[in-house]
Amino acid sequence: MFFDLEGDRIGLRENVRMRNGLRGLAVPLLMVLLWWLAAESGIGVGILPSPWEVIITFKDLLASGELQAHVKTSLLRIVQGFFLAVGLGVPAGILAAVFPPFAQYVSPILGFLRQVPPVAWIPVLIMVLGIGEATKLAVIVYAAFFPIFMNTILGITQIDDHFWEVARLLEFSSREILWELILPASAPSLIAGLRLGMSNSWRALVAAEMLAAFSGLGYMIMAARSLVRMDEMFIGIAVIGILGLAIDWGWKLLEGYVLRWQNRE
Amino acid sequence: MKDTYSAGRIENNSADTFPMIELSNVSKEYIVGGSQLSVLQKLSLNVAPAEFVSIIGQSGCGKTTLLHMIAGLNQPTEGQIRIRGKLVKGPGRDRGLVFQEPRLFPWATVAHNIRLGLPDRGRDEGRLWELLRLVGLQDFAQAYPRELSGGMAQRAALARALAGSPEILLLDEPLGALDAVTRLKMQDQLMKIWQEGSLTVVAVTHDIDEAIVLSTRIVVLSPRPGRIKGIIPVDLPYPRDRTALDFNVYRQELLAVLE
Ligand SMILES: Nc1ncnc2c1ncn2[C@@H]1O[C@H](COP(=O)(O)OP(=O)(O)OP(=O)(O)O)[C@@H](O)[C@H]1O
Ligand SMILES: [Mg+2]
Repeated sequence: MFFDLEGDRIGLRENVRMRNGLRGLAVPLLMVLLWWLAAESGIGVGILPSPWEVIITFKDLLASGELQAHVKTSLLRIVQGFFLAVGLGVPAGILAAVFPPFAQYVSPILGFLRQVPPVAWIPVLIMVLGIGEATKLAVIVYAAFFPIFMNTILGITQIDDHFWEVARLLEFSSREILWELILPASAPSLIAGLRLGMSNSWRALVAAEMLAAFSGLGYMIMAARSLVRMDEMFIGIAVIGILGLAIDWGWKLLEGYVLRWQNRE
Repeated sequence: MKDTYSAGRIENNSADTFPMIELSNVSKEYIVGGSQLSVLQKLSLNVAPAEFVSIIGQSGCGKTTLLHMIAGLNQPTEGQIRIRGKLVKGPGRDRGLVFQEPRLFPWATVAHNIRLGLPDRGRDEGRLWELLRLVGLQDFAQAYPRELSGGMAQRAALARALAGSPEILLLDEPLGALDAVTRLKMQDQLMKIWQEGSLTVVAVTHDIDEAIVLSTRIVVLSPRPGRIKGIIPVDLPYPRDRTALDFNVYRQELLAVLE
């Protein structure tokens, strides 16, 4: 259910899938049980909150609306940054795939930038842009751009020559080449890139919020640290993980719909 | 009135003096693995309007190459190809091609694949359904290519090629993937389309009987380099009877040229 190691495999029956899903729940449940036992038996008093304490804090955070506000801020940043990254990465990928000179100009510098993780830029960005929204946005765009850009190129260069011949034969306009050939033919790779880009930017955003923000889930964890509130940190981590999973799950649904023409089952 | 009438006549006459398809000294070379491969050598052939010409030859003798050059997907290394006297520079609506493989877009439904062959891209839904009915795929309009059998996919490809209402239909082993019964049915279907539409057809085939049943002329190509080994006009009335005595005469003649 979480990593879907098996559930992804083609042709798995529904009940088998369910069984595998339940198996996936066993480990987290066991962890919570151990945690609860540890807290009960007094291990880590003063540092380790009990599950009950965390649940109560969770309720408080919800009631005050604080948690929702952080979630909303983080999601808004992700959505804005992600769309910006798509707007840059997809056209740039198409250009690089269709006009090789363009790729020759940009590939060395992009190859270099790819090796530098987004977090490494945060201090630089703070110096240049301050700790406003621009810094966070830049980190998200940076983190999402490369998977999107690379997978767009990959998807287009992998299009079978036979299909290009069909496009020539049927005298496709440039628009038709884009919408009827390039985008649908490269959709499998493109969506993989979008999915990866979003999960990359989700991680990078949390880091950016820890270092340069006064709101968002990353900030919430950092703020909890300075207040020595382990329970709030736990909640922050859990929410980040669960939202990340939910986003990825959404991507899978979208993928299944867009690629419904592909051979499955 | 009179002037326009006579002007029309003259234009028609001059158009008629050109063959529908004219191949003059067409050669094609490829560079394969660093060395030159002569695929077709000095091929000359005229195809009259409304003819049905079959091309027979061993695998690799350049049949597909030839068809693609007529379609305008490929340029001859030497010589010219003309359609109604006009030099072929690229693909055009006047020619429809069915590839050796169906080559449907796997991400598009059958209906959408055919729609992409229509000049207006299917704004006229009526024409789209006409084509679907013509190839018997009206119940599979919303199916994806992976959900079709080989023969159904080939029929969809035929509909896509016919969608542009071409004057010339180029067929690359269109019935190759079919079982014997479906094959005979499709031959009849092709005959119908050809006779009703005043089409000029050039069809590649490996099947001797099919060539005799369908063609006004059969062109036999020799391999490496591809040259015309013989041209056999088939003077039998349509519809043709496979069991007729004359039929066997053509069979023997064709086999003799092929050997
Ligand atoms: N794009 C290409 N580049 C290099 N060589 C090619 C290319 N296309 C075809 N050839 C060569 O040209 C020759 C003829 O190929 P072609 O596909 O026209 O044969 P064919 O008569 O259609 O064969 P078959 O009956 O097997 O379909 C082959 O030897 C092939 O290797
Ligand atoms: Mg061939």
